[in-house]
Amino acid sequence: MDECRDNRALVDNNEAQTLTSEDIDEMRRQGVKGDEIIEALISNSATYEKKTAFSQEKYRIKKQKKYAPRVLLRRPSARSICEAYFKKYPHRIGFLRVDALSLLLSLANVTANSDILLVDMVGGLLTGAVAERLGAGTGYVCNTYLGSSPYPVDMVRTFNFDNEICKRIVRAPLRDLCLDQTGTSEKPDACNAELNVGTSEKPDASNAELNGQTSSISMEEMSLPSNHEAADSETTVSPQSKMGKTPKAGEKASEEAIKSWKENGFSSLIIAAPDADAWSLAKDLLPLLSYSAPFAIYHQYLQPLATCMHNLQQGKMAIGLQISEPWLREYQVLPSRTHPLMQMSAFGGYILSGTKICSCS
Amino acid sequence: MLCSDGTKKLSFGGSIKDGDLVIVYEKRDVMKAVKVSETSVLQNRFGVFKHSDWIGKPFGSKVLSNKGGYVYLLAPTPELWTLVLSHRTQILYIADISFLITYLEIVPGSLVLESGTGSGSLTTSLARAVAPTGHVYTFDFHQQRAASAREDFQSTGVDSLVTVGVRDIQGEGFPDEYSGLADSVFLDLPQPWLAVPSAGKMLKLDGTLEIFGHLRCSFGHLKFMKGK
Repeated sequence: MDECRDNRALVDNNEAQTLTSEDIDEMRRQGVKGDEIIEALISNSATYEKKTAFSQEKYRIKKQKKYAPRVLLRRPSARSICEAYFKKYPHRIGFLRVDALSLLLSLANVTANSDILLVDMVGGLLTGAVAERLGAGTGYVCNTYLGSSPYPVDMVRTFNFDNEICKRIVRAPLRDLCLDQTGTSEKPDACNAELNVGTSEKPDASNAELNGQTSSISMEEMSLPSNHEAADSETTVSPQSKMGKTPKAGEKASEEAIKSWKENGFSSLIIAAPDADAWSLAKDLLPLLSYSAPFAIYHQYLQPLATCMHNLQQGKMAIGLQISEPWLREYQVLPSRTHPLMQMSAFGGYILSGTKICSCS
Repeated sequence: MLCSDGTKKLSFGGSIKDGDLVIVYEKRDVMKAVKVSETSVLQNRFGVFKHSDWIGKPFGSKVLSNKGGYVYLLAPTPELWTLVLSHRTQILYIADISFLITYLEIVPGSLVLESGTGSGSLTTSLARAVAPTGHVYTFDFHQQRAASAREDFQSTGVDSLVTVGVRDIQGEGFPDEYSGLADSVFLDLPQPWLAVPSAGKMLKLDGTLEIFGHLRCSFGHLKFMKGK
């Protein structure tokens, strides 16, 4: 299409439009539709006809956004939730961009009927995305955490999961997963350590003392909840169904499930913990995986992952180790106007992935 | 590779059996898919490996050759499969595959239509995403490639989730029997616009369509609303 117009005579002095904002308000009060307002603006513009076809289209779209906005209502999905948070509150999701999130799901072989171990410190976005791909059926998404308080996973609610999927999302503190079946504690120190996020660090000496004390406390805790939980789950299920309340996602994992994970291992592991050290989490969590299980660790910065990768290699804990940096470029796609958008996210973090191996020979 | 049986769980806790597909890992970029057989051997630069030594060992094990060299035996996953499968056509790799599946919003139970099948790299990942109750109907106009793809899906154990059809989607569109039933449609064709109207017919309300272009690395993403 030949375009003979150009903008040499167009002066941007705000005088082209003869309709005033009062005129437009009056039209709105009279109930004039958005599309009609746009037509009125176009016909009252002294420069519209002089613009190029592309420019006219741009003008029209701009006015449409203001006077006749259109929205498409869609069911939430991992993709749309991630994109929304990445645009508005990226720090809440640790700058986990949608392509990085997708890679995590693939590299960790997330699928139905599997048991996926997660450390989700990105508000629940990861938990929701994994649960979405796990679906209903068997298998669990188990959120684990150091210390005794789980990390907040409020974003899971945005996914609108039904009861069947909510039941699959559970949590268990790391120390419960680390104990061997007889209940004796052979826990590595980290199992008892509190995760210090933004709070001052405890000196090592008191930590050691704390470990000694907390081992005995958690032993007792373990025997109580086992009876408690069974009773709890029974009493909460029936009244809830009577009252019609939905089971909350993120309930405590059952004794049965924990036992099964200790016997068989988890089928994969994903860590998205921007404020924690990758290696200290990996070294305690990898032993909980089955052999040949894949894992993926997301971090905003490269160095912690590089250190983690080195340590995993030295310790011969995993193979197929690689660090990926996902790259995403958005394009505007229009005839003769296809080009990358003017701004691009340069920073979607990094992912360390690998496969756990059997150390026996 | 996957559990289409809802009562079993995906667990690599099982050991290697005669007839299993394993991924033999020499190093990061040297891997090979091998079907385990009681009487076979694997020969490489590390020596001779008897398959019979592998049977009964857990996946993820290190196994030795007659010379004392070693390899690791891994359980197949769609990611590993993409890296070892035989290329009959240009394939999609993990970065694009993972992105597509998230954008197509595929979840267990989805019905997905794909064209062209090519070497089945994406198809295998699609099968994982729809398992255990969904299905992938994939089409390629090349008879032999369709047959090779079917064989691969059998070896990797996803054949209950994938149906391969021989059909020219650009010329004929998707079969009418799937009209209005597809949750997602994926096109990787030389002239995808020819298949777009048919894709539109196949999609449910709020279904997703994705078109992949190898040449310009461009990615058109459209959503279809029926009746508009």
